[in-house]
Amino acid sequence: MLLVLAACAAPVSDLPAAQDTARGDTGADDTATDTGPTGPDVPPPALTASEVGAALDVALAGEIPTFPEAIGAFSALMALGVGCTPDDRFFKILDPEGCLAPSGVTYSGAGGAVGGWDDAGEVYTYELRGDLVIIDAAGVPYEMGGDIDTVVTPYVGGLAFSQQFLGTFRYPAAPTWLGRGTSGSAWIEADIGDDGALVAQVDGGYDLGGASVYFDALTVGGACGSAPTGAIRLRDMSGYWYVFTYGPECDTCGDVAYAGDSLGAACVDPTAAMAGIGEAVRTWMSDHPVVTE
Amino acid sequence: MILALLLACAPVAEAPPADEAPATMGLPGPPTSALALAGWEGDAPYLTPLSAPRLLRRMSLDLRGILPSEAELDAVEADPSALDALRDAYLADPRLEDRLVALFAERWHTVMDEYEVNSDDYGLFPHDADMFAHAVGEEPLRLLAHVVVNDLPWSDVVTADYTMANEMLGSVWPLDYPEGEEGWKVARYTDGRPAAGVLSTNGFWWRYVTNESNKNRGRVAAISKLLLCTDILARPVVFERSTETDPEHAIRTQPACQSCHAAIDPAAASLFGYWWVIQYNPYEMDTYHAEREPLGPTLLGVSPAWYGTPINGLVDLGWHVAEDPRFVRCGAQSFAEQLWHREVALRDYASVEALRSEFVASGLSPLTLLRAVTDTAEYRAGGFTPDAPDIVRERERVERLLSPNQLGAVIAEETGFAWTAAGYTQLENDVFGYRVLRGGVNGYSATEVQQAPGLTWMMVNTRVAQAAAFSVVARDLDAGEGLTVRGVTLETTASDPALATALTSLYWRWYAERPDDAWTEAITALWATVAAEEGTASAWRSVLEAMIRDPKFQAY
Repeated sequence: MLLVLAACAAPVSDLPAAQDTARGDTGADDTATDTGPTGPDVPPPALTASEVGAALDVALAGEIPTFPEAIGAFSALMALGVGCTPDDRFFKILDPEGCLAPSGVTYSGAGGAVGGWDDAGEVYTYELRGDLVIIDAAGVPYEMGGDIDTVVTPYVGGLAFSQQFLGTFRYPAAPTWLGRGTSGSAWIEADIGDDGALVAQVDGGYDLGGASVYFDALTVGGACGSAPTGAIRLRDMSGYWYVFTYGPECDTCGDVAYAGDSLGAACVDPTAAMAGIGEAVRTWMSDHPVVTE
Repeated sequence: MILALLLACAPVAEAPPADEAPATMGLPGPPTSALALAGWEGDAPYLTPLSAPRLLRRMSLDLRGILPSEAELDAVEADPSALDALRDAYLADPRLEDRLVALFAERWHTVMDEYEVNSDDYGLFPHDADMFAHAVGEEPLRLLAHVVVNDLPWSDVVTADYTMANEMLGSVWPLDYPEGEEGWKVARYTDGRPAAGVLSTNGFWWRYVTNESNKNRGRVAAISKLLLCTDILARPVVFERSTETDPEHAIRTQPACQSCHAAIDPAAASLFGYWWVIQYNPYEMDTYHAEREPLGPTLLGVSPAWYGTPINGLVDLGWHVAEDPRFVRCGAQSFAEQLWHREVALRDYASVEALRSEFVASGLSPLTLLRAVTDTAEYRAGGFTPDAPDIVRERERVERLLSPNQLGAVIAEETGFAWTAAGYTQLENDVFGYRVLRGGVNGYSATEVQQAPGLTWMMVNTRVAQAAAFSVVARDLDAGEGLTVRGVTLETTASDPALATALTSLYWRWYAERPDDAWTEAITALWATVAAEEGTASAWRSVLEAMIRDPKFQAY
């Protein structure tokens, strides 16, 4: 009978919802003394619109993470792994004690980096993937949980670049973003011109120097030319988000909203951070030219 | 039955408002006047209560994990009305917290032997593996227990801005656990995760993991089952054959899929701070990823919401769970189920509704609820009336088996024997131990406490009883401490009245009943037979082992 009863029950979403009752009403009868929840009340914003803009400027000053630094540091450490990393590309060391190489570097976990030009020399791909920690000879750990996938396709006059960045990467001995460490789930698509022209779009989130930032189609070189379009979110420590959205004027300014309400205008210039993407890729590729037989 | 069907199938529009009769198990409640006719008044009329001493024993085991003292048994034997005061004292006993953790583990299933990240991932010593696994699994349970023992509003379990941690978790997770301290203490995560009580604990999400295709949906099912007593997976959804090849498209478009996913997916969209790119990785799994919160709407195609009401994400989720009418009723239902040792069904509507009402009237006081559950006929049942139908006799638990946790605690308290090996508590794990063989819950494949004796259950009891009896003889008779077996020595003979006195005293203490002459004669004869062949120490070991293996000891 229970099945029959359940079958003819209304969908839960059709039943009286908690939200239909007054705040804090947990369904008590008339005699109840209800001390149940009375929230959540969205706390007032901790930042003004201009402070949000300034915070985003600071976050973006630390550059947007790209693959070269992560792979470069990993490859350098792998090169010191004689006795632990036989092919210099992968290792899988399940012993929690790790493997101590004569170089003084300790390897633990599993991961690797593989990539290069395809046979035709037309597409360059690289993947770094790891669930590992490598402790360098100075005792500094390179902690990794995730993967970075990169595809670079040269064309006449530039490079088409895409990157998927997923996971946590931290190596305090490295300069820039890897040294500070980051966690992210983000995607970049870019056309990087040899002449410095850049069309780039970033989607997804990064922890940038302790600030949680999320890009919604942040684009330069698009509809507004060199001026940015799209939006950038900044998370308040309360758990709510500020949303900075570029306006139609094609400048670096836009509106800041918090919990759906506008806080006013602010300006955020991502040009340098976006240019850094192009510069990092261009430098890496110049160091890894196509090899023809 | 027809009336019951009519009641259940009544249009929802005719159901009473949420603040008058909250839904149960997704169904509107019946008008109270129809309870008796519908057969929803429960089994109480067919139940007879335990004797006061035996009931005190049940309460002590449930609330403290140990047996009552002889003085307490004497008090309720002389005056059964003393029971309530002793029960209230048990509710204030410091052992209640550990006992609740063990009890919640049976329902929440967060305590497992292994997780996707284990102690070796943090470079901890191998002998800390069990302590680490228990610490992870107990984290959310300790928070639940903390709310209960401090009698905080039950809604705190999903809104608290803190968790509970011990020194081990404090050393490896992003917590502000006080430096140099030890033991379970209030602590806060330092990684920016929102305040959502157990929904902000690593221990909960390490148990209820997700993956790339599931996208946190299973986690919503866990929230629904544990906090709303609504088992989404039990819904009788009928799927039609489809040529659809994209499951995500089907979920968004097929009515059968939407019957659940319309509610599941928006809630799942609020959980992407716990979206791990690589599982089995400590850096990913022990830290909240605030920057991934907005991924939910992107990956699921829906904005965060709780049953139709938009929310801002996890930061709002706990509050909305707490405000859901099913949450309070589920609190009452789940406490009843755990202490009644059976599932609550529609026939229990009136009993659970009474508990819910008292719970609400108390301001969601968990101790009030615990007290109320221990007042119910179902909790106090020790037998049946002569006219009790067979179905009632089958479903009510008038005798409950000691869980492995209770057995371990009682044995340690009564005999001084604590069963450990290589850092593992043998009745609390299955790596080297015997938790499941003894009828316990391991969190994933054994999810209900064994309710009836079985072969491995008996074998483990035998070993425990043997070791415990050995411990008592060594302590009380060889060393002469006389803590459990009193007033006798290894020179005491079968004809010495002190022997019978010691045994009958033990019977009272361990079973909360007075032995009859037949038992006293039989146990004395057993003692004498073994003593004649193997000596008095062996005789004591034999009778103590027999008494521990006795159903009167193993049940309560």
